[in-house]
Amino acid sequence: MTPEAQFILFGLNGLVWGLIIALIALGLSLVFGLIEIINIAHGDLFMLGAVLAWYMIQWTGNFWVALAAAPLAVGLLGMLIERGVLRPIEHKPIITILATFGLSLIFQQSVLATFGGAPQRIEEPIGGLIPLVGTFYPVYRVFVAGCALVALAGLWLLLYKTRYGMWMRAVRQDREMAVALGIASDQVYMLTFGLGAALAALGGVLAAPVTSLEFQMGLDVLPTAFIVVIIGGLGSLQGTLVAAVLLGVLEGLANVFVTPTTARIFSLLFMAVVLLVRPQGIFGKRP
Amino acid sequence: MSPRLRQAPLVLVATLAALFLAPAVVLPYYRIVLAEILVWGLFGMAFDLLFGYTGMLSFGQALFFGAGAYGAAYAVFKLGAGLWGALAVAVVVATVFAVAVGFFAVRVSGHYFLVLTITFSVVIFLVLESGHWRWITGGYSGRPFPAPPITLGPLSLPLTNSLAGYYFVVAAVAGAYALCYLLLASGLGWVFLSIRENEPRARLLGYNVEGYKLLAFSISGFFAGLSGALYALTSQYTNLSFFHWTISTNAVVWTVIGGTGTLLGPFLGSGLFIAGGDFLSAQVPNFPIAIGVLLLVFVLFAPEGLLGLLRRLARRPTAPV
Amino acid sequence: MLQVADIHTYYGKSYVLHGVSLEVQPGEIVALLGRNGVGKTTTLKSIMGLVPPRRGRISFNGQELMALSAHRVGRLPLGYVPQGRRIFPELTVNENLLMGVGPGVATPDALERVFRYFPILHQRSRQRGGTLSGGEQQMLAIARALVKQPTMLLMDEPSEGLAPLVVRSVKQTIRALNQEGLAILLAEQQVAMALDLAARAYIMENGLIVYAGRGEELRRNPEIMKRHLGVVV
Repeated sequence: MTPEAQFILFGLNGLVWGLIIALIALGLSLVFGLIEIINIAHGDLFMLGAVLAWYMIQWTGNFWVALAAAPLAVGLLGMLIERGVLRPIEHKPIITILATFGLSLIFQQSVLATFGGAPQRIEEPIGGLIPLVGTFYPVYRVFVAGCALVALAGLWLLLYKTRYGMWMRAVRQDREMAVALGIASDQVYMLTFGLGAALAALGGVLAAPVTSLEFQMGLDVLPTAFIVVIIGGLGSLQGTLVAAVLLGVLEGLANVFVTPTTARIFSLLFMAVVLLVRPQGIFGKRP
Repeated sequence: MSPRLRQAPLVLVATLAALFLAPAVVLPYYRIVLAEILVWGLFGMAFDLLFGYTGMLSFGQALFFGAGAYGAAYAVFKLGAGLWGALAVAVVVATVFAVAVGFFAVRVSGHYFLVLTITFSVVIFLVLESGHWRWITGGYSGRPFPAPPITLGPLSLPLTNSLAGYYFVVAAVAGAYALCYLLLASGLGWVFLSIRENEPRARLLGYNVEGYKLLAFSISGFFAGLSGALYALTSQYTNLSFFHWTISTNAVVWTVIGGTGTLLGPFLGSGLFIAGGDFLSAQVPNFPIAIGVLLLVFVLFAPEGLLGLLRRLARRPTAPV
Repeated sequence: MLQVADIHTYYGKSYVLHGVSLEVQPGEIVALLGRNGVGKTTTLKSIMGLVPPRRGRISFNGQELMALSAHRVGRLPLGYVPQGRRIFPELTVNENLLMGVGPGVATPDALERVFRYFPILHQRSRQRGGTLSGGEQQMLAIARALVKQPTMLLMDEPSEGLAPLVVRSVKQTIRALNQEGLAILLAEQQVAMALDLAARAYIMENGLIVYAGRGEELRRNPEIMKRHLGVVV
């Protein structure tokens, strides 16, 4: 394989991965922009999406059912969590973070107890390769990119072209005023959290065939989501998207030169610098 | 203003007495378990100092635990140090580390601080794991190292698998606790508490909040490093996993359940989980899930933990220690 | 139309309203005067249910407001123009106005009417709220409250931070709205402006109403104004 081809290949893989991360990070950012909490269990929602997909494929043999149903199920779980666990403590940020940590433990251990500790794999639902830059690229990954883009477009439509999306944005900006205008902000919180969870789970289902499924897979994804959200700017959805894609592509390309670990180390250090120098991220507003 | 004692002296004396008399009553195996509870409890106490007192939630304390453990290992292997030397090197390394990390970390707060501490922890773990720093980590991971004897003047007593070793740990941890207690009672405790309660007001009152936070972070790192060194020396091994942030989260669980802002709470927590863990995981089928549920229950309904709850019921005055 | 009876309101542990009573009849403009921090904003927020009182009664058109959750109060024909405007900075002018409809149905002429009152908003309809000038934001805040065709408005210091010329135009708007039949409870620090508009006035001090009477009566008693408001107009 020519070096250029290798470069492009790694870059494409990075792009695909970046789009998946964008889904997860947007879920995190939606919730943070609204409720101002870092959900430590968010990575585990990604994991639950993947694991649920695995179970659904076992039962129905159909990946597409899983693709539709798993995010919905996790979205519902998200709504339950917001309503049942987080709502009473939402005004106490540190307690909330600890609660999400407790949830993370519960999710991981529950999956460990049922799914088991051994990593599993899911087959790519769409096999085959397409010719690309003198080599071949898996069709499934192209599908993932397409699917993620469709989801992102759907999210944009929801937020900017529907009334409910407008309410979500309004509640994000000034909750009290939204309530004074008749919006049931509690319900908006619940649905936003559910949406965030569903996005993470969708990322999980899409990622499942290209990575190995195990109960701690959320642990790897969470710091990446943090990086993206913080660099892009907590509360800025466009920033998160841009940061995710950039990070994915850069890490992907970096893999040509250095080990994945080193690439990861640099991303983390970059995030630390951003946190210290410009906490609102590249696109965020000054807090 | 003289700080009024919040820990009933009776409780402290009773606990200490129980620890001293324990070997007479229980099998040698339980000596080891007790020692482990104490060492991990110390780690929890380090976390409680930072979180329970100063209100800084950090998942990065494993960094300093690991630094202490590896510092001790390095001192024993490379410097041929004795017990005291190893401990000294360990706490110095851990504290320097803490000051360095803390210098940056305390500039942000809340969730940014949390993410930053996790980040540093992950970065260091990845860096060490990648093998580029073999000169520190290569030799020691997993390799059992000879525990240096306890030297007190002309006496030389074995550290591991011995009565002397047990008493050494008790003394070391009790000493660390006493040191921490004195530090907090000296007025530092009040400052930390006021930062936790109302940071902007503390700033307005003229306190250098970043400086005090750095102090809290460094002291916490000191004790975390001490606990790491003690653990490594008494169990005779170190492992890169000591640096992983999930170690930090153990301290979180023990402290939240045992009692935040109490110094003793983490010991209660570690005691419950380490001693109770063996017993309970046989009885309760999904013990780890139960831990998560228990944590959640406490966070939602009793975030001050068991000891905190007891204190609230006994209506103790709110003094720092 | 609006009756507030002996409400006691706390902000956390702070005891802010110590038993406030007032009323607004249909078609009236009533001024709520007082220095900074006496509880004017808290009174309005209590009526809207944003800071619910612990004791007392509030009724609007015969309906008990304290029995409703805040967002249900927000759906009544009671408009709220808060202190500081509080338009949604990232939403467009159009979207801000649509927020005024709440969960109801946005009738096409609802926005029409509002644009007739404030043509400049029509020009700026696609602009983000945060980019408008102070005076335009005030217009937008008022317009937003008008979209659902309320029968009464609660206005909190609409003149705050605005240039005198702009304040004059706000005043004209308020007068015009009142002439169309809108009742208005106007909390204001600018006493002169408020008394020009209002038939009746309440003065608040330390969370209590210390004076209630007609506007001219107040003007004829400058020592009352001086004592409670620190100014004479």
